[in-house]
Amino acid sequence: MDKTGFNQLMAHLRPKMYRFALALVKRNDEADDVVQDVGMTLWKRRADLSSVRNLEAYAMHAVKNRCTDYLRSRLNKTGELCEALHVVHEHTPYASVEQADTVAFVGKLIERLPLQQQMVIRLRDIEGYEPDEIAEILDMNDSAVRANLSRARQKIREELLKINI
Amino acid sequence: MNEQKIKVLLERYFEGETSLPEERTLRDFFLAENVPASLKPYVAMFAFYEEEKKAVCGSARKRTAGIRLWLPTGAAAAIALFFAVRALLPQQEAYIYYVDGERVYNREAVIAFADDKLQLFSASVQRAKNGMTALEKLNGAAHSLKQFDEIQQKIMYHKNKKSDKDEKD
Repeated sequence: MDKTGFNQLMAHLRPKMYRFALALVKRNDEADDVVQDVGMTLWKRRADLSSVRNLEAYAMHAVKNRCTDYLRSRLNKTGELCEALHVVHEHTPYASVEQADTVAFVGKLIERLPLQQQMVIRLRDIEGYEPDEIAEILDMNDSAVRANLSRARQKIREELLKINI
Repeated sequence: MNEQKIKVLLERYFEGETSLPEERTLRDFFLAENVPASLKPYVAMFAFYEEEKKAVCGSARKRTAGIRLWLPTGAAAAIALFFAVRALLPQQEAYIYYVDGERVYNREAVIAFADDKLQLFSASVQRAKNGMTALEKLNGAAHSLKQFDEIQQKIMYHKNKKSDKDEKD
């Protein structure tokens, strides 16, 4: 891949990579670093990129892995369980919702989903990936992607209907 | 699309069975005005996805505009800073490149960009020099006129002096 092709790819991918990274690491500086790290890695491996079937999924997969490294590193530093990794919140944030804008509330609902569901719903409903691409990005199979997507959407529906009764 | 069809599509959406074009149809429906009351609870959901899509692009545009305003006037400073940072950092991997407010990872592309800017800057300097030459010519003409005026005044002075002397004689 030449530099023009690479720059075009990055210009297209950078916003998606950043949004996805930010949703996972929740910090602007770390999301920025993740995108830069992945960009540098892709540039170093540019000679091999022509053999990659789906470059976008490949890059997003790298973002997900890099974010996991960041979250693990944070976990090691704090010695506490990192919420973003696997915590399922059973409670709903109704107290804050009453005053809050319902659009922002949807964001909070997504943050309270299990990590796999968060990633699947973001990759589908925000970034617009097909299930097979999401499967490749997240190392899952298609049926697991569909199951996680359905559960995530159902959960959001349930909560939205509760506040709109 | 009528309300009944949207409801059917929405059920399939929640089951994770809709295609991307079908989901675009749903999004267009819910982001338009006049959503029926029974479907209003879902408006926020589609609005959130739409906002999230625009969030990063919006901030990137703002940042780019700011940098672009700065570039024409500060091109020399930017290039100097680029080379200064380059000289200070011993490792090639430690460089961080920004073009139009965006991080760029392609070193060759950054150097090509800096080179282009340098050439544009040189052209601006040349134009400014040409402008200065014209100003200098004007300045020279003004100086000559001033000298001419002084000579004229001296001639007048001597003429008056001579006529005064003639009158006395």
